[in-house]
Amino acid sequence: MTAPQTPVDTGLFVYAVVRADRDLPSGLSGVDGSGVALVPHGDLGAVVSDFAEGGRTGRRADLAAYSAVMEALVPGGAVAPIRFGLVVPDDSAVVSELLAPREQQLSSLLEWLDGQVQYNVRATYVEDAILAELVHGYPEIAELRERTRGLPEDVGIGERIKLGELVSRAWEQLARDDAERLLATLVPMSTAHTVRRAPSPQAAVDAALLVETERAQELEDAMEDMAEQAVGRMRLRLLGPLAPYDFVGAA
Amino acid sequence: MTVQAQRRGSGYLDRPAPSSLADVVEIILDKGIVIDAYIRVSLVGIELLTVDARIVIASVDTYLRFAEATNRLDLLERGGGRELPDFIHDMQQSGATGKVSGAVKGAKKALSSGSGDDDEEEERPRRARKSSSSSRRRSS
Repeated sequence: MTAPQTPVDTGLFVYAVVRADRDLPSGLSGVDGSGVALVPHGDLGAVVSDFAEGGRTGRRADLAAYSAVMEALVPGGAVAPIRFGLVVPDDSAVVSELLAPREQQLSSLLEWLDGQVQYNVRATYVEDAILAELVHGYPEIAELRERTRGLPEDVGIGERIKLGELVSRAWEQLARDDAERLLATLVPMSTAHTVRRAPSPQAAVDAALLVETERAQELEDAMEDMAEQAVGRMRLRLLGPLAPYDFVGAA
Repeated sequence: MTVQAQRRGSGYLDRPAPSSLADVVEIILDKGIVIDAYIRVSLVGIELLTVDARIVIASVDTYLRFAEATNRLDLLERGGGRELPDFIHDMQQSGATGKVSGAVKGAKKALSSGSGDDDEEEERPRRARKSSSSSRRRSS
């Protein structure tokens, strides 16, 4: 009632924008443990839940709840995730501040996302297998290794740095080659993709793919095959179907 | 990273349900539509997680780790694990080691802004090995 000096600490936590005519999964609870509801505006709807945490979030349970709500929305139709942390005062603000000003954009976005889901793909290395590969493949690495191994840790530091540098460079090249090869198979199965992290010894591939639901099985099969071929050398990981977090831009 | 995987198909592909905190953070961090005007909740927790996830270790330290791992490898043609005498070292080189790890620690500290003494935990596997110089501590 009095002029609010402090930020509003109750409101609606917003998860995503969806089509207004869809059903929400029943019994879904949000970051605060409260039920999830839809605030409609024309064809659009914002998925929200009551939020009264004193304006603080970011706890592990909140992140998990946000992600769970999003994943539960995926099977029921196009979902445009809103970045974690958006709290709006009330229903009317959801419409006037979020949905109405971007109605056209959000509608086209949902239309584009229709029938598609995101998969996160990662290929990481089995370190010892790669190191052995590099020692066998690069005489200079093998030689430096022979020269430095067994030395106490503070002896031959220059040579050890050199060895590590050669290993690192060679591994980076290997990662670029592996990434190119794996993505050459995966990318054609997707309508869009983003490389989340450039190829490195930590991971050859860390990417998000936007995939039509009908092609999901094809993607899984391809990943299975590649995982089998790579066994002992790389580990392949497939997360999804996820909401298309990486494909909604900053509308 | 080692979440229990639901094996399917060939069984070689890791298909975890995205339930671990690390997975969730990785999936949602910095993603989704941004509506700046209304970000009102404190994202302190998130920022801390971001820092953790993005700690960059100086390249020299990475190189040393690679060298260490390469030398630890058990290859078929390996020449045997003779131990060199403890006393072969020179102070200058050990001085360099101290500086390197000091710089890395400095960088780490700057990144993890004020999270106190996290001291080296994981990026020093070599500690497990018998130390050649018990009397000398890194940078006193």
